[in-house]
Amino acid sequence: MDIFTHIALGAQVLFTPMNLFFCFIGVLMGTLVGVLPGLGPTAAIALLLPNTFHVAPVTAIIMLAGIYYGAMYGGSTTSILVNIPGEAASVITCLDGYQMALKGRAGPALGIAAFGSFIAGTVSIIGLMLVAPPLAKFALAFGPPEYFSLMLLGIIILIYLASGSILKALMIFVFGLLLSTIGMDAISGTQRLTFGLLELSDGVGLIPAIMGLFGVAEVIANVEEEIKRTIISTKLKNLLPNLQDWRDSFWPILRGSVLGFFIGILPGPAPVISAFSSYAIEKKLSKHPEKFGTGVIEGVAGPEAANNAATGGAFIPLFTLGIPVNSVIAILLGAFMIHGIQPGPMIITKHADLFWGTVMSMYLGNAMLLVLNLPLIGLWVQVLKVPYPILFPFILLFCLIGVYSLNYSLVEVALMIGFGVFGYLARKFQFEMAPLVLAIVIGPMMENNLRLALVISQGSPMIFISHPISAVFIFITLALLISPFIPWIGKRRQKLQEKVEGEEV
Amino acid sequence: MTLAMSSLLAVGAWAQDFPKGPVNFMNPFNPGGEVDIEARAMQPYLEKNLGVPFVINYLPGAGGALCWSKLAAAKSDGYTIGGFSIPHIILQPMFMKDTAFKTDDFVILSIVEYTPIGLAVKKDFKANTLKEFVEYAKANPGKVSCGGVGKFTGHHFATLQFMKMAGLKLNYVTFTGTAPLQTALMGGHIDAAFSNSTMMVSSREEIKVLAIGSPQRMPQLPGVPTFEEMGLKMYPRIARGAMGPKTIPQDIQKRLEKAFLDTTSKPEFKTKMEQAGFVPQVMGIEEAHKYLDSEAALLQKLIQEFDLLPAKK
Amino acid sequence: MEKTQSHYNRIAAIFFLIVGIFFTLYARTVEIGSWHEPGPGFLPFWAGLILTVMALALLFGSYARKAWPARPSFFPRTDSWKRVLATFLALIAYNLLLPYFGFTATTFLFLTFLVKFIFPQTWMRTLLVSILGSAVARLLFINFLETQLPKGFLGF
Repeated sequence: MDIFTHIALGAQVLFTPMNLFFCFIGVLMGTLVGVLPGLGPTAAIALLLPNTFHVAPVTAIIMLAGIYYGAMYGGSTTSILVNIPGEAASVITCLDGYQMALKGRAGPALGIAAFGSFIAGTVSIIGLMLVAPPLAKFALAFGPPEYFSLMLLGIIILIYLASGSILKALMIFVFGLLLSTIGMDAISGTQRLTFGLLELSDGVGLIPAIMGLFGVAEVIANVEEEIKRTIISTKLKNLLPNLQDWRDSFWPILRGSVLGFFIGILPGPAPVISAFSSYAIEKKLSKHPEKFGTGVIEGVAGPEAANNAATGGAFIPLFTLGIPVNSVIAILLGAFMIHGIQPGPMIITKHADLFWGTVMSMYLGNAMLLVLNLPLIGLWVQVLKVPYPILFPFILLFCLIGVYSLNYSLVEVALMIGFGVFGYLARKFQFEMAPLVLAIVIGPMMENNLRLALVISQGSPMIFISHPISAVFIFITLALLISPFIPWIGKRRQKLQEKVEGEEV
Repeated sequence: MTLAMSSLLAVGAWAQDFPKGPVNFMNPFNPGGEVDIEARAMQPYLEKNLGVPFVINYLPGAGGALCWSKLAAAKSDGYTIGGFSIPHIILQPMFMKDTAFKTDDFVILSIVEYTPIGLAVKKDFKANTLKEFVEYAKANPGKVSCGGVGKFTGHHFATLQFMKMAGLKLNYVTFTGTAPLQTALMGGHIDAAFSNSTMMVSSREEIKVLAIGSPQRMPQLPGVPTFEEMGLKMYPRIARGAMGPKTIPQDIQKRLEKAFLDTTSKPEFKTKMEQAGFVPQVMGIEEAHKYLDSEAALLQKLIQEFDLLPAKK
Repeated sequence: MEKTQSHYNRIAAIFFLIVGIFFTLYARTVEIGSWHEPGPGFLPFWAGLILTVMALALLFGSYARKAWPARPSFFPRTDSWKRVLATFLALIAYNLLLPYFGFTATTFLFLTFLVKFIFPQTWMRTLLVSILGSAVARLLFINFLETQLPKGFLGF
């Protein structure tokens, strides 16, 4: 069968000592980078790209793809262990992963994240192999109105994310949206609320925000309580997920993989969006949604699978249309062009060895990740055994350096501290932070697409409904918005109002 | 080595010492864009020539204005330089609100290439030639959406010039980068786009290129007429290269200029660029500034003649 | 008077109300634009308006319901506010001192302060941790990763 010849070709390309070596280096560097806060995959790839000029294009791509995957996984480690997301996509992992760690189940959390990512990576690669061209065409059908409606739908997902009051979650989201407008407006060049600070022209950084809201705030909250850290008493044998864990995680991983893969095709911060969406879906489908946020393994398995699958999906537009959907892929695209490879629909046929070699390397990369990280779990758990009074200053230091090393900007560190204060207060007032992160991530995209759509339609908001795909999203959004309000009778109404404005007891 | 050390004491011998560490190149646009491709193509040659890493950093935003504002205020030690686009750096300070830089804040070290700007339409658009396009647009003023990257940039200006010269009204849609513009055009979300030759070359299977703004037809785009051929004397293009804050000491400027000239004059570099759709150039500081000034004058003339852009408030 | 959730909600609502109104008004100074050509103020205006409305809803809601779950007072233990404040001040101080004292020295001071004064450890332990910590950090970040961290006036 044709597919097998292709796989054979790919394997042949891959299993040379040089390529294997570079794959390993890529995965290793990626994981290291992912663990360190602030240095995202883009930075890592940009740093290592020059070294790839002296090797064949296939090798270069293999290494760079390895970095991408590695970075995604590395971010999960810190999320679970100390509630500090390595990058935006890991924010969701913090929610339940960290709780699991607090209950002494850090090992299974890390393990399921690793396995889930591996399985998801495999699924997305199979998808890449089989359905690349038609999917890419589908992605092209997404224009500004479709993106905006999709993002809008994403907000509704938020409602399901919220474990507390929906109104509050929405408020935080809108607040985040307003914050995301700070900086230089991409379309007109006007400065918005930057107070003349050049550093703010780029907007409120995502990393300072998540480090502050999750990292700093968490530490401060712990410092306040004289914590008795029960995680210390983890038994070493419970390092891997048990059978029950596997049973619980099976469907979330599958769903997450498929979801992540499709979302990955669309431009934008796909891993983040997939992770958030997966979490919401798992919560909605679960028999015990109220337990989400307290340490259920589905809340880790699904999102982790999703964000890894998204990285696979992101390669599709690159290979089929020559279009980069995020900065990492864009750099790869540039690398292609430098090596004289013209991206576009022809790339799979004209450079079959490149395509299939990369596909196989992604698979291998995932496998290497698993092998690399599992033994490390034991090591990581040891780190947690350090007494908190001594550990927490290091966590804070980690945050400080991480943010500073991004742009060497003290302003961003100050921002992080500010977010830390905000996050700390928000906990007191029972507000969730995940919607804020989502808003900062998708805010600029939402605004950009909203404005583009309106310019194209010359001022008519009807464009969102006249385009079929967009209309579908809007319809689903409205349906979801209204559905909780339908049982408008008696007791259920009471309960509903509590959910909307108050707290669940 | 000792020679270098002792020359430190001599006046104006800094160049001997330069560069001691990595040179940072600020890319005003997104990864994968024209500046990125050009910079990465140059990178191995530059690193060999300078003997230090040539680090590419990204600082996109506001059509390049963000990066240029920072570059104008950067340290003048020669370790921070950046990419540029002409006419952007001429037009933006003139017309954009809140720009924190002026055209003469910089010294242009080298012009590496330029990309003629062309007009393309989506695959299923009613018009197949420039003539048909003009007719259609005249019949539907303001209804044809035409995309370009940024405001007060080469694309925007080309659109304005075209509209004035052909006597029609298009709906200009501002995109933040070539990739979203390309996707939107390929997906049929906008009707037309003014964009770089490189984009035309890479997506020519999916779009219809109606005209290109070079003086002669481009070999990379067979069958595409020039604007001149079609009766419109316009030659829109975007020139790119490297520049730094003008306060960089003369000898360091010269050193950098040499590195760029050596790189851009290599035949294999030129071929690579041409393949992708660029028109490679080999221009040093003096030539580049001559070009800059003549472009500025040309733009002024066009603005005057056609009353193209409202002046800054 | 026992604090309930409604009090917290009220305060939060007022905060967001102020934020919402601020953005709505601010938007007008940066060109809201039209529907045909939305300007930089477009989104801030509408989002600000929506936030204001939601804040009002929260505010009124806090008066409406009868039974609210009780919430502990702001600081659970009497002394804990000192730790919180101290930690925040330490963070701010780090940020301010970093350019002057350089990375290694500032890190050392930071670690020493936090280990010694938040959950007091013995001096022996404190110094061991902070010296080792700052040394390792320095090696990792400056030497190995070559991050550009400030050298400070002490030159290291």
